Amino acid sequence: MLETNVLTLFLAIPSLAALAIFFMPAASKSLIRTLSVTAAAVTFAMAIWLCVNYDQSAAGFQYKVVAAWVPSMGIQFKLGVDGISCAMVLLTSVVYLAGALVSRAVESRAKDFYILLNVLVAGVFGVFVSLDLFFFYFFYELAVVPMYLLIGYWGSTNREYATMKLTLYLTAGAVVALLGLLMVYYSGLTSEPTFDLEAMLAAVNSGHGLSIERQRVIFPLLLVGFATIAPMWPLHTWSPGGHAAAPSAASMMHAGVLMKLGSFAIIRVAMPLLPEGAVTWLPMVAVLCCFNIIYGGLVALNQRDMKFVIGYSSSSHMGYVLLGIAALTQTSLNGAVFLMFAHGVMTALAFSLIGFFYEQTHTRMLGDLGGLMKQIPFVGICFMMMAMASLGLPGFANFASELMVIVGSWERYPVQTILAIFGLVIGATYLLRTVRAAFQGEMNPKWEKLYDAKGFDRAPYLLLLTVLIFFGVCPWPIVDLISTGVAPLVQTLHAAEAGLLGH
Amino acid sequence: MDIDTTQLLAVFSTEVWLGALALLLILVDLVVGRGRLTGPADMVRMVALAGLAIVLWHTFTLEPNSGATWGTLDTFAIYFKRFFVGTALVTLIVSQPYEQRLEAGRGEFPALVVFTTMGMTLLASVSDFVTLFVGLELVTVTLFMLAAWRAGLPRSIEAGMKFVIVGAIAAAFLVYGTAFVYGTTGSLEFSAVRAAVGAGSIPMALKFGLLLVIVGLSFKIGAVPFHLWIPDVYQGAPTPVTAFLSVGSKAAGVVLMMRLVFSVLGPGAAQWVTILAGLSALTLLMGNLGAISQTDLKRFLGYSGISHAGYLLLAMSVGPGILVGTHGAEARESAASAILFYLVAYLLANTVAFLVIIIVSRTDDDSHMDRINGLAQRKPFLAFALTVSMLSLAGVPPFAGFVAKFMILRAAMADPALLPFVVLALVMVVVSLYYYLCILKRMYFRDPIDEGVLEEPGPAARVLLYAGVLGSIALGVYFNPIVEAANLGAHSLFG
Repeated sequence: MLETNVLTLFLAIPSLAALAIFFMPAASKSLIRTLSVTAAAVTFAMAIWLCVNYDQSAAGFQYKVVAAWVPSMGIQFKLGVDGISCAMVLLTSVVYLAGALVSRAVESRAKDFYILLNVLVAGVFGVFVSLDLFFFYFFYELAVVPMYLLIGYWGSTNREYATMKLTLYLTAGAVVALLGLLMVYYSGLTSEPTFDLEAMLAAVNSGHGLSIERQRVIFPLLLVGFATIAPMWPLHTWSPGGHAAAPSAASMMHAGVLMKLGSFAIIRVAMPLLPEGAVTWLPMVAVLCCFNIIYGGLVALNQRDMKFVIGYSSSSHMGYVLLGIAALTQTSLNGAVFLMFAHGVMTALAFSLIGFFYEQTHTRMLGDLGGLMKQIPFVGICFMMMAMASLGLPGFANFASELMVIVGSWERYPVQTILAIFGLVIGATYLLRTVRAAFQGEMNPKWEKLYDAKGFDRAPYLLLLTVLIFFGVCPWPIVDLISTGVAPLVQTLHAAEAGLLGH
Repeated sequence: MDIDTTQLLAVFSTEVWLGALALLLILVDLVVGRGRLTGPADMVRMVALAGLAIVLWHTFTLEPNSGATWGTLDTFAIYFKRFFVGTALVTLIVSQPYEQRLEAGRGEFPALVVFTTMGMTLLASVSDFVTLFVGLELVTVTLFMLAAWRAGLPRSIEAGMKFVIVGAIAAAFLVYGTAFVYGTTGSLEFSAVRAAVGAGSIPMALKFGLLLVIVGLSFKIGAVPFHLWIPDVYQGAPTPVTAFLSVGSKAAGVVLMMRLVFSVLGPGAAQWVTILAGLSALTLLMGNLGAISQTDLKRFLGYSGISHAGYLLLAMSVGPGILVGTHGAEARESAASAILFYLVAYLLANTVAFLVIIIVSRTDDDSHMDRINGLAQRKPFLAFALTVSMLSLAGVPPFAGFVAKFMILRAAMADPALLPFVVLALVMVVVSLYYYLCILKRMYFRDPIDEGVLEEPGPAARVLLYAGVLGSIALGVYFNPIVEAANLGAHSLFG
């Protein structure tokens, strides 16, 4: 039963939760929260089940669900996961659960908040499990738009501007990608135009891929479209402001999961469908990602608002993901996907912690804070561990994944790799500076009334930390899983480089 | 000419029923009305709703029939007949909360709507230029009256007047064009024109005539540069009439344009594509850029409606350039089908939007955008309904408008010559998202300015709101049934 329907359930559970909340009275907030947390916990359990039961020796797309949808347009409802999507589904469910837990603090219009959060999660799950490009795009847009209201209503700092910019930027990226997807659709890859990703991949792998000239035209469209949300420099400007303005759970979903849609889409759609195009254009990504790493890091160094620090650090870390993708080796791509996972968990932790004390202090300015460790030791220690994870301390998943990216990229892009290593130093600087300014030193007396996370409130932070440490100490379960998904991609791309994909 | 009356009745049965219904409504109003204002008007409405429901059912029993000389009843015509009768039904429900506030003139509204609908369904079946003109005038003349329905309001009169003038100009273009067509082909039948166009070299006078006809129809669908009347008339006309204008009247233009472009010009349409695609580009630009700065909801929807006409025109330009092989015919068919789907999505979203506007503009009939500020605090469900409607119009999943835009873009991408226009349409999707989100911004992020009490929508209006919202979502997720119906309707255009 679960084998055949598990992927449908990933879409159905958050959607049904949203629907159920829609019909609940707005006053019963605790019921609404309990329902959302339960839904999230169920998807988390399912995600673990999925990762454990995914048959790594068989690899490929598993747990497939196929239903005819619109035959006249070549649209199917087709779901399936490989190792990469399994890891992303797990990430989504972890962040979903933590996000639903920390949103206990949302008081104003909690009902609407949870409806939007659940719809957004349904969209994100949809992107990760869709094997039909129509639905892939459908869910991609579905994940972007609820963010508009989430940030605009429940957000802070300059929220109306930030949320409009974010929504328009991401939609602009999406339509560029749509243009590329439609070009692939009509490219004659398959005998009848279809949105079926598997059929297209089969055509590419059997040597019936598109001509190299065509791939070189279409690939940049998909790249720019998807890289907007990734976010690749210089398309990143929506991101720090958006993160800073968003309420905790929205920042967590956004930086933790939504940003990964971009790199995931590049790995899932753009690279395997257009391998020669990827080989042509990825060196440019390898250059731009250095701007992400260095420029993002330097800007983070100069921020006073803690959320902006984390926001810019996110775009800096995404630079490593892009470097890993561009380097095209098994190790670097494994590392990139693993880093998507690790960074997602880490950044969700960061935003949830900042959100925790921001609700009390109503400021995130480093100059106003200080010495908070005395008052809120639990949150302080969690934040410190988050910072250690983020700056790449061994023992956390981030270290393992960044190391893989760096080792994997060294051979092809030594200069960029050296810059990336230098970026780690910048990262350490701004993170330690943030920790010192906010949690150490003299405490401003006006923070004496701050209260720490107690009892059940600690659950989301502990959950995220546990995941980070677990995969930091023993990364192989997830790396093996990811590796089964990366292997065929690397094979195709290496064949493309060697000119072995016949035309 | 031999006229087979049975055949004729079979083809025009819907129109006969609608005509009878309209006359019945006048009679009911006359007999039962007699100076009383509340009871009978509701009675007229009930009769009208029941009658339209029966006619709608009747349209679902129609079978394609190509026997008659004065009109065609193909699947395309049947699809549109259903659409128009459905639109009329919806309009009568939308008008209910509005009419309740009126002192006079309530009885004739349903009758006029039914007469207009009769004209529209007639247009769905036309196969010659005379019937076309008769149908179009029936639609336009009754709409003049509807636009000026609130004779007590100066801007309603102004709207009616503007509409009369523009309508007369459009009709003049049409008739002049028809004269050229008749002059060159010696016939008013579409089939004769199709033969003349298909023959290869087309006489200059015929080209000129057809161009004038296209211009005349462009007024109807609100294509730039023939769109200037739309914002003014939409704003001035009573809101239910605006709702009817924005969907019914536009679709009436679309049905004729489609028959002309896809069926009459057929493969010969290649020369017209430049004009249609150009019109589409202008319409997309003007509609979307114009909507940004609007502060009146009805004007805003007027511009938004212009932009949607741009997408429809884009779909109409698909195909002739790629007629080699069967691929071109396929592309044209899917473009036509996309338009048919688009209209349904547009009907659902627009109906909800106008119903919400009627409720928030209260008795003083002021549709300034400030009226929806903070609507989420005052009436969460209305805000939600308008959100669904706006996002559907913007083309965001999981709403019907997304599928509609996707179908149009998919169809247009099949034609490599249209690539620049597709790019423009995609850019405009982003632009339009901005102004639709601005509506959400007012409803959710602003505090209410308007302190007045909003009346509760009546049961019928409430059902319609739910139906519009659910329909928009259902067609955004499981859209195959309507796509199949649209495919069937589109197919007969290319027979």
